[in-house]
Amino acid sequence: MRRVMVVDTKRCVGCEACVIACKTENRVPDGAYRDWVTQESSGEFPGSGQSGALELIIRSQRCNHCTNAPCVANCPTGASFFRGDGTVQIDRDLCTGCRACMTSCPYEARYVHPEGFVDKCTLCVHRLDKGKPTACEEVCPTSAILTGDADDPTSLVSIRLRRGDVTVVNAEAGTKPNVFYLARSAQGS
Amino acid sequence: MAPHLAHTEIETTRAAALAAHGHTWGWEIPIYLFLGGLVAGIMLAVSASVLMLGREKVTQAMKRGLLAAPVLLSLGMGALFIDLTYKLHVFRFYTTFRATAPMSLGSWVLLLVYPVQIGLVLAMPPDWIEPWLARLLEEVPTLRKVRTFAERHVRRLAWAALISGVALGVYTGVLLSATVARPLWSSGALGFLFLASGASTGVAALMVLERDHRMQGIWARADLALIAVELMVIVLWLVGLATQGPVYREAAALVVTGPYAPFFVGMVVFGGLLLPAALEALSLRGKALHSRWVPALVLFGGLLLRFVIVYAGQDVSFVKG
Repeated sequence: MRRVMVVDTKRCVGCEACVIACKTENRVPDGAYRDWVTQESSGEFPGSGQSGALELIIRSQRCNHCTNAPCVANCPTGASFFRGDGTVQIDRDLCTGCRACMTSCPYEARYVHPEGFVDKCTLCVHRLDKGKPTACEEVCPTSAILTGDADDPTSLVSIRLRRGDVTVVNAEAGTKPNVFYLARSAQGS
Repeated sequence: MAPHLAHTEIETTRAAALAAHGHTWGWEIPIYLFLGGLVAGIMLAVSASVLMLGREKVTQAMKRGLLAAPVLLSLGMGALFIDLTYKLHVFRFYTTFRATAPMSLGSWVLLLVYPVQIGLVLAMPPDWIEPWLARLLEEVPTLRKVRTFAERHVRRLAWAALISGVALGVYTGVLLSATVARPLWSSGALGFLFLASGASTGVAALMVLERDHRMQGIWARADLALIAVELMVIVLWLVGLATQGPVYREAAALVVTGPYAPFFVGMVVFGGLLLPAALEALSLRGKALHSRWVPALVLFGGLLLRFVIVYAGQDVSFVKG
């Protein structure tokens, strides 16, 4: 099993319901985010023809649960680890709060929990294991977020990934992210 | 006609939170990296002297340096402990070994370094602690046996100090370069840079303590060579970054022409490397006296080098907005 997420940026309206749902579901402390919404406006103004088109892309972002995760490689105690489903998780009992994982994450997806350990998106595996969708997926009013097993060729995520028009954030970091975005390139934030 | 302005604007939910949190690693890490490198340098310099010149040539300054090494290393580890946000779990470093994580490798290297240092101190203690040590050895027979063992195996201990010193020095740089996410640190040259800088600061520390005129000259020559190596590695590191891609060029520019340039170019490269190198060269030609201010500049430059690299490294990332 390889759990991945596909976010359709053409459906996302930037309502931030995913952010609130995540904060509520996972009791994320004030000032910290396990997921966040990025709005990227780009183009030329005043423009002419194709080159002058202004574009707006909205992405719901989170830990990318990378296949080549530097946070896992650099964790000195094994607190950051790969679960059997390919997601990257944190064992709070092993975490020392050295923050080597935070300086290793090209997406700055981690934060220090007020209790001292480092925390981040778990892809709501506690829900997925029970057959429920992630909190962000469940609450999304436009069904822009989809989670599933990329190893199952009949899953919706596999079908979406097979379309080929997917990209990842900051591909140049070389971490092989498992959160994919439908439509155009992503700069990241 | 108004100019056409191509632009990308990024807005995010967590922009304020990212700005408020600032740097992930603060002053504790550069202090630790400096002290780790300094201790590695002292171990390398003294062990090289034992192996090349012989045990009888070890001066009081070198013995005092050896005695200071475990104290300085403990101070560095103290800074690391202060840095941890989950301090109660500090023992977790020693319940596992992770070959891919430099911090795990470093934790174990630190444990290997202490016995070697203690062995060398027992074999070659400074004169002023001899009376105190003699009383201690009378009361603790096991320690007496350890001293006898250390005295018989000084050369082997020197080899162990040489190897563990290199491991410690390289580790302080690899700790940063293995992180992947920080373009400024994304270079294999950092391991060599921190080793060369650590060796240079270690020699500089011994120069501050040294009173033997002949050894002052030897240390000055060694430091000149190490400074030359360090300057070459700095050039290789920056050229490597400048030829990798836009985000790496942005990172390199931060220390060469950006806000960190006065500290890096002015105080590290000029004040901490070129100026002391020139003064050391003059003293070797007999045109200037050996001064403790010269190695003090090297030590200050080494400390600032780590502050600049740790802080500037966290200012540029792949994340925009």
